[in-house]
Amino acid sequence: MWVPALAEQPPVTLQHHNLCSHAILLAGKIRSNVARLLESYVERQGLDRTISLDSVEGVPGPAMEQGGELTVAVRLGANLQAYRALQTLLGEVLEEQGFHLTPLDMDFHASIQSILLQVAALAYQLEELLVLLSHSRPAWEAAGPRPSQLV
Amino acid sequence: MGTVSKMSSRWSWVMNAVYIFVSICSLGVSGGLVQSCGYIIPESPLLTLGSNFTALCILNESCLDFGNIHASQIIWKIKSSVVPKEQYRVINRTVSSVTFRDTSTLATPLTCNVLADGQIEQNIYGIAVTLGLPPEKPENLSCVVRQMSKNKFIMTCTWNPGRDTFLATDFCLKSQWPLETLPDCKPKGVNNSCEISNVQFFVNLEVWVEAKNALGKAESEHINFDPVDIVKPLPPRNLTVSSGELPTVLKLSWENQIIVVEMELKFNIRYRISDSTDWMEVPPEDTASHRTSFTVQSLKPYTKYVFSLRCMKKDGLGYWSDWSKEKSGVTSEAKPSKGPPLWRKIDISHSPNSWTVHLIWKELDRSEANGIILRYEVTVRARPSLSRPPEKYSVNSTNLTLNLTNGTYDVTVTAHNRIGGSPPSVLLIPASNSKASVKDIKAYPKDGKLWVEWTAPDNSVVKYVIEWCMVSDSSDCTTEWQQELGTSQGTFLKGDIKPFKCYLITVYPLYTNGQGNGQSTKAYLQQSMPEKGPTVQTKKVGKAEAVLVWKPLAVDEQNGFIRYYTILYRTISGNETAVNVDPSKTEYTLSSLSSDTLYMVKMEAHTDEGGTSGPVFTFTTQKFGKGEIEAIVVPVCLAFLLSILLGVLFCFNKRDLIKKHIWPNVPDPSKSNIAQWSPQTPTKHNFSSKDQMYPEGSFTDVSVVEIEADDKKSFSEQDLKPFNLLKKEKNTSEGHSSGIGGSSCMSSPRQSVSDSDESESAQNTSSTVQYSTVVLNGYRDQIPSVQVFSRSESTQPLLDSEEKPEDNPGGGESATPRQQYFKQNSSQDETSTDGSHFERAKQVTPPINEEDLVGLTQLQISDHSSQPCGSGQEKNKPESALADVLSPSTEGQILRLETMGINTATVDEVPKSYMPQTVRQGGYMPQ
Repeated sequence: MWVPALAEQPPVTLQHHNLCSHAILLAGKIRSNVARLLESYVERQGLDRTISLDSVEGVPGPAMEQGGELTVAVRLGANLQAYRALQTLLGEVLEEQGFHLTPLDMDFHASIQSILLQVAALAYQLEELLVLLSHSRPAWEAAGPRPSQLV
Repeated sequence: MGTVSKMSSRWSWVMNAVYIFVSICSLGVSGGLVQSCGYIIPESPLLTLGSNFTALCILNESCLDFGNIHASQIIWKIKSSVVPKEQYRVINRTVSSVTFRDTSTLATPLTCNVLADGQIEQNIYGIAVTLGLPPEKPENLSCVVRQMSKNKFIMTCTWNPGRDTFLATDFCLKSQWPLETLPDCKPKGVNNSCEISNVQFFVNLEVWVEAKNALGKAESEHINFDPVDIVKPLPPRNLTVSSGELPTVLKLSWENQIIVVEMELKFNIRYRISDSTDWMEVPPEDTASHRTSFTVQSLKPYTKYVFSLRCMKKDGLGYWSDWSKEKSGVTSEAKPSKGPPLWRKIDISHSPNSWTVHLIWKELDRSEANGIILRYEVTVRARPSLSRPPEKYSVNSTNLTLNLTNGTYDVTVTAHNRIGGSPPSVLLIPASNSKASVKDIKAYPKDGKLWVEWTAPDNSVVKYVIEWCMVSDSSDCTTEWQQELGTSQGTFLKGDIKPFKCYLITVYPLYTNGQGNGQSTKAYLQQSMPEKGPTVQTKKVGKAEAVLVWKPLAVDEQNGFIRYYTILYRTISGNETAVNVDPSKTEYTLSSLSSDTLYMVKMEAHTDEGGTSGPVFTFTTQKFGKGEIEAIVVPVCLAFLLSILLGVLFCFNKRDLIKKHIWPNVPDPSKSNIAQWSPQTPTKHNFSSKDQMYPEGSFTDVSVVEIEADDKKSFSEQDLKPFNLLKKEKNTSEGHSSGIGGSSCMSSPRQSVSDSDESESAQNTSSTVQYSTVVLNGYRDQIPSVQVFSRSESTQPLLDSEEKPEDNPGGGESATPRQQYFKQNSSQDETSTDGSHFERAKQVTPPINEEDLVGLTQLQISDHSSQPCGSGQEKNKPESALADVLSPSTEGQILRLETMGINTATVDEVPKSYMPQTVRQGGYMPQ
């Protein structure tokens, strides 16, 4: 069992492990939810299902492309920036859908809101992880303006 | 003066009060629309129950000026109740306070009042008091995330809100992430739970409850968790069950309703045989990993199973889901696991050297058949096996009838389904049941079923066969059977055993090389009272005993084992007597009964559960016992016969005497010399001649009638009419009976009266009046010149020709001597008949004394005997004779009748006459 083993470890290491675990699971869930949200979005916007998301304006490229050349801190920082950018973009999408495009489609709004929350949570976890790894927390400016309100 | 002063003081008081009221009102009006004369501090306080509270009532100065009011006049009230003055305190001229140590005694409104002029109470001000409690700290906060659909989760948090605050209290479920505060959750309609629909996994969430009211707020403990760890997921859906090639496995497949990126699951799988309610479970460790299918093993072939499963987060955090919908599946077929139970029935009726063997076997249980049985294969092998090749049969039913010669046979039966055949069932049919049988067989109900137990024989038994059938009068004993292992010594009967029915149970031990005789017993699953009681009746009833008989109850009516009969008998008014009788008997003798008494008897049949009474039968004991009547009747008859015999002997010995008294000699008319007794030439009869004619002295009695003329006189003509009628009747009735007078007179017989005379004399005395003598004193004052005697000397019985008047027509021929005899004596019958007439005559003519009547009768006799005249006068003859009888009495003549003895001397005193004779002048015929 992993719990007793972790219990014997120093608190920092346990918190680190929990953070990593949660961040990984949350990232996976965000991915799953975003994929489903994308289908719903494409359907509602009438877009082509073969739309490529490899390069979206304002979204940084995946850090994994640079392989193991980057340090953990850099990779975590790049991820954080990317999720912050996603958070900003999802905020914009939510505002756009809620006020202009689909003001009555509350389920769709709830889906966007749910992912927005998850992305915000993941970003926070990444920040905490960086702090835990004795790295500085990157500023929001790198990824654009911080959303004023999550909910 | 005093009255005036009192009135003036009252008026001054009223005026003063009016002044104060007006001044208060005017003050209120002058200061604004409503201006109070004072006020209370605090205004509308919110108080905690149980706390201290002090209120101040402050009077306006203006009121003091106008109304001359002082704070000491203030009265505090709660609603309409005055607060005790001990709680007041006058602070100064305008301020009064009231203090409550415990606000629980408070209520709203609290008013400040003033007692103007010491008597008029005026309200100054009032406040509303609100009482309540601050909220307690919510306890036991817990949350659960329920999966509502594949992507929708609702977190429900519950807590204990604490005591009632009596105030409006708001509860709020607060949550926050480390950096973000999430929206509050406000309960709707409740105060102890709240639901949050936007649940995010993998982020630690801090949750707490805040309770707040006017008196304060409280906050629960903060709990911190990842919502994914408190999930109760939806159960797996779309469960399918499929059988594999192996007959002992089934494969389950399902669909999880939570995506794996949210959580991995573990499972519980349970299953049961469709006919059972007991669930079995797949070991949890086998299903502790996330999956969507599982193969359940170690199942029974060709068996329908029902499955269900549930899930929870793989790491064990959170809650188990509900059980999924049940799904069933059937395992594949396999070979039958065992051969069918086999038994036989043997008929030995055809010929002594052959049997008709009915092989019977039972269908295999579903758990043993492992599929659908398609056929049975039967092999019959004679011992020794070399004598004949084995015979094989393939049948679809569960029985086979064979005609076998006497001997020992091995029979095997195998059941076959689509997969294959079962192991063979073997039955040895020996030439005779020569092996040891079971002992001490018993059967009794147990646990609602019929239990049979026995003591095993000393030898090793392969198996037992238990046969049983329901014993009934209305149907044959249809045998059912079952097999038990050779190690068992008891079993429940497997079948439809009905209560209140008698079962005959037989146990056969089967050995490897033979078979034992069956041992039987009877048993009931459940007993009851008999359906009815026996019908009793008497077979024989005596004076003090009665033999009762009855028919035993039919088996169908017994409803249990008849333990005993009870005979209940009693008289109508007596106590009932009960006698218990062994059930094997069908007859019983009641003894010590009362004779000639009505008894009521009935019978009860008793089982272990009670008795039922039969119909009542009544019988009456006899008055006399056996032989008593014979003992009485036979001696009486013998005595009677003996007395008769003695009488006969006596009569025989005394026949001469009897003959003399009963049957005297009758003079022979042929020897009569009546012709010589002509009235014209009366002659004296010679006694010597009489003696010569009747030497035997047959005449025993001689009556002498003396008639006086005076007596006759007393009879009037009218009085004699009935007598005449009587005589007429006698003439009619006995016209042919007497031949003497009739024949002698040549007319219809008229001797009735004379017969009466004779009968009377015969009745009155043992001696019969044979002859009579009429002593005629005179007629109509005429003295007869001579006495006339008339006699009959005949000793002959009456002849037929003489009894028939037609044989002697014409009275004119009476001149011949032969026809001039008269009757001296008559038969007994005639006497009695005439006697009755005589009695009637006596009744009709009471004035006539006996002597007269006797004289009358004698007169008649003479009339008959002395009728020489023609028949033309015969109708008037009785009247004439009567007139002759009566006439002397009217003329003072006396007609005397005397009884004469048998002795000769007496006879001599009445000389020359044996017969009564009426004598008239110039002849003896009346005119």
